[in-house]
Amino acid sequence: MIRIRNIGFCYPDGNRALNDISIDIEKGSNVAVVGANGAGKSTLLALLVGLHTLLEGQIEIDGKAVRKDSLDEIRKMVGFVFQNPDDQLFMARVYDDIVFGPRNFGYSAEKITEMADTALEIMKIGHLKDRAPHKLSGGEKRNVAIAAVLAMNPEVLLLDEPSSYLDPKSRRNFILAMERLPHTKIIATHDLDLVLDLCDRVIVMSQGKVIADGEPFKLFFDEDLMERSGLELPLSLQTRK
Amino acid sequence: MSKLAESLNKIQTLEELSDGITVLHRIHPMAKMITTIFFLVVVISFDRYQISGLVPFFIYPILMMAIGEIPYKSVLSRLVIALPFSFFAGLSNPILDRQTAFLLAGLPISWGLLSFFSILLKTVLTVMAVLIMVATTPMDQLARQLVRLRIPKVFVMQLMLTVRYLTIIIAEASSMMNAYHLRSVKQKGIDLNHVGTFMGQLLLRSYSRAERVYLAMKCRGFNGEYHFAQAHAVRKSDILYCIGLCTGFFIFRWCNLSMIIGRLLGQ
Repeated sequence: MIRIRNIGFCYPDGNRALNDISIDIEKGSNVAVVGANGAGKSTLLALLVGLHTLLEGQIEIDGKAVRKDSLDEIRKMVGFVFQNPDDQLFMARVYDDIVFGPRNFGYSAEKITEMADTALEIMKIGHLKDRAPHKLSGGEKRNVAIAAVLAMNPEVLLLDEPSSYLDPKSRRNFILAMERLPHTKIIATHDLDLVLDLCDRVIVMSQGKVIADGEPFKLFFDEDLMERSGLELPLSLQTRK
Repeated sequence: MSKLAESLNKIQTLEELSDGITVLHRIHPMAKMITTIFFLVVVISFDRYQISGLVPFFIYPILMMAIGEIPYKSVLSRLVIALPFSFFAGLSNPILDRQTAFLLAGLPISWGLLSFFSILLKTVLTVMAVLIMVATTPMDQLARQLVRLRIPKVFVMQLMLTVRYLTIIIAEASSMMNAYHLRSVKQKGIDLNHVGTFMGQLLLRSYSRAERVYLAMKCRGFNGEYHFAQAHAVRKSDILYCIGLCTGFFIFRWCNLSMIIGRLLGQ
């Protein structure tokens, strides 16, 4: 469903963030993108939703190339949950934030209400809809940010460091909520325990390149790979070693 | 809580009040906007020496605050911010215009003093009316009505985004201030040598934060046009509210109630 071919990206300051990346991601799969800081994870996600202009290679989502003229359609299909929910939630009320996307895509008032109600129900946050986003806890903000993206009814969810800002209980609730969602999910994270809980495939990145791609349990026990990618064995696996 | 965080809280409390469920909150935003504009025009139209004619207009904000369950403190504390401007604008009047208008309990009251108090009264009334409208109507509904009143969309969107970004810049400044004070224990404000760097950093951080917010908006289909929430259809009660209050203001404008009551009491 997602086809990435030979993409490369260089920031205007000359920093080369991605080099010749090719990945295929099947519909409905849960894929983690892991790697040290600056490995290119967030840049990869940003390119998938057209936040940066692709300079080399090609990305296709459900057969549609990510290009300037197709961004509206791509963004309808792909929802991006930002690392910091405060960057995403800026309206005065949770409900206004949830309906922000559907309103922009021009749905009717009835459809917008229906989409918002469904998103609130999926994330179980109906009780928060009249609250001010800045007064919510980190976990609640994260859930609202995800609901705001789900309200657009996307097929693919991109999540950038979703477990940051979460306490252990909120993290557990987040994992349970993600398990309920049938969407294709691509999660950029450092939280390898989260990967073990949620993902069936992991892509390991280092210095803008993919250095491994496979099942989490196999890759995480590869000490050399972990060392090269600046990662450590997840806590839950350290006792098994 | 730092002073900046307190200010941020203050800005947001007025907005939060607009989520109320009183009769006044349920009035159509357009009816409230027209009524408020009419009130402002009527109050401003008074002669600069008129005070007695302005006094009855206080019934409107007092009544609205009671009906809208708006805490008096939240309106009055914001009023204090606006008053110094008109205070200094009118301060020269009593000095330049010293001719006695009348004697009050043996004390000469000059025309300048009258016009000075008239400016203050007009400020209090107009600012209160606007604050009441803001405290009973969600911001995006107000924005939508401005668009319907043919105010160019680009200005309305600027207004909306300024309100939104204001909270972001204050939050950034607040966390920078906290970090600064924690590492400069004996210092009260920001050292003059650091002001330039502090402001520069604040600008860069706000810019970068605003950019992330903008990207998040783009991801959710924002393409430069803000789509406002639809208000409910105009009902009879909204029309009655608007016509009733505007007629009341009109009567107050042309019949000096203070004088009439004074004459009646005199008789």
